[in-house]
Amino acid sequence: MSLKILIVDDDSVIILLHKEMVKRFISNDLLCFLNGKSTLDYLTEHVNEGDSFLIFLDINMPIMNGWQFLDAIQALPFSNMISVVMVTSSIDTKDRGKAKQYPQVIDFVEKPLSIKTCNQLKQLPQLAGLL
Amino acid sequence: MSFHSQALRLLIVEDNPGDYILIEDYLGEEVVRPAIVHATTFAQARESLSEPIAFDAILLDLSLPDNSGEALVNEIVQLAGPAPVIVLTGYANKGFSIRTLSLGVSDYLLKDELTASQLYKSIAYSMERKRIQLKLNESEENYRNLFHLSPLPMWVYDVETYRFLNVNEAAIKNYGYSREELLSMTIKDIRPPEDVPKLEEIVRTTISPGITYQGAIRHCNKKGEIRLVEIQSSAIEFEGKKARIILANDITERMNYLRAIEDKNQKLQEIAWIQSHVVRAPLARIMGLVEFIANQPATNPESAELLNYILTSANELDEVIRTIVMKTEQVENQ
Repeated sequence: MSLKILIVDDDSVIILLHKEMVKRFISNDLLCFLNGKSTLDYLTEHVNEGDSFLIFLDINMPIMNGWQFLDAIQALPFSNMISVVMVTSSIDTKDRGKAKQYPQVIDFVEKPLSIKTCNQLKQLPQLAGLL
Repeated sequence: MSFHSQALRLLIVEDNPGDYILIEDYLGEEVVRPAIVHATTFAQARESLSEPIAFDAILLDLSLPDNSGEALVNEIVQLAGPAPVIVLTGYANKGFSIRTLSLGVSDYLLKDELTASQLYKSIAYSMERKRIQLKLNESEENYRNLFHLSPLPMWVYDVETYRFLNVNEAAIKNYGYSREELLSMTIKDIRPPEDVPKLEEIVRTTISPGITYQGAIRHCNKKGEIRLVEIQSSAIEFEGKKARIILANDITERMNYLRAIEDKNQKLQEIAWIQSHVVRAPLARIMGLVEFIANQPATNPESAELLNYILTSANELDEVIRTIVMKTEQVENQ
């Protein structure tokens, strides 16, 4: 049983920062994507039995944004193996409310991802036993 | 027989001394100390009527040395004001006397048949009738004023021909047409042409009496400007015609004002969105980069201090953005 971390963001600086942050404080097993579509393609093609995923998902992205991605994964047979942390530069409270409606979303954090946030994420009960 | 507590004040216009004495006698029988002023000519009568103390009634002989007939009646009725005029006449003038009733005379009495009680009865009835008539006039005047002096435009229109039957001052002012122009127009003429079918529909469905209509519609003034108007209408009968009375409140300015506020709110929300999504994205990047560099093992103390300044500034900017977004969210939720 392995946990793969996926970082999905169209901002390359954010990808660079979050990659370092996740590597240092959460896990080395990670992949980065620039939008929801490429992430979805990866998930449908490369998933193995017993894999689970923790996705750091941005909202505003070209091609397929965070919301469209969340809608799309509902149909996946292993959608219950996916945990999503919404990571956004938006401080709009409406987005926060909307994110709660998806069962995969376990947290909603604002950019930039800090050391403190990473440590808090590791304590979430949904991730217990996976890290 | 006297039911007047106050002394009656009468003007008797009579040039025949015999007739005058007779009338005076009759009055003496029925009225306690009447205050009688006697005029033998029209000139004297006019003088007495110009005095400030009003008469309770005027008894008028139809032929005086200086005036007679219709001209005399007209002049006296005019001068009499609220006092009833009772014409005293002979058989020869009976036909004309009846006609004087339409000139504003309250009653006529034939001298040859005159009795004390008949005279008194005529005076008492005429006074009472005049009093009621004045009250009625006053009440009609009040209602007319309610319509004509209403600060809101009002009009009455014929439900069959759509013609304006009456319009008030505010309607004339608001729509820019003269009274004569409006009275020669129909209510279709103050609608934009494309709204006329809708108007016909409203008139058709509210034609039965008792149904009041309320709604906001478009009107057109003389300049061709479209005005948004809130209408209230009720069915009435006007000069024997089935009509509706309309009260029209021009709400154009109010609606424009509301629209302007809504536009501003929309822009405010756009600004909030830009602050929340667009401005904060590069800021988040800066904050992340600073923390990242500060946590590099090789950072020297001087750089660390400078980085801290950048981070403090970025945090301040972050607070400002949060405040703006919070305030616009409050506006949105109101």
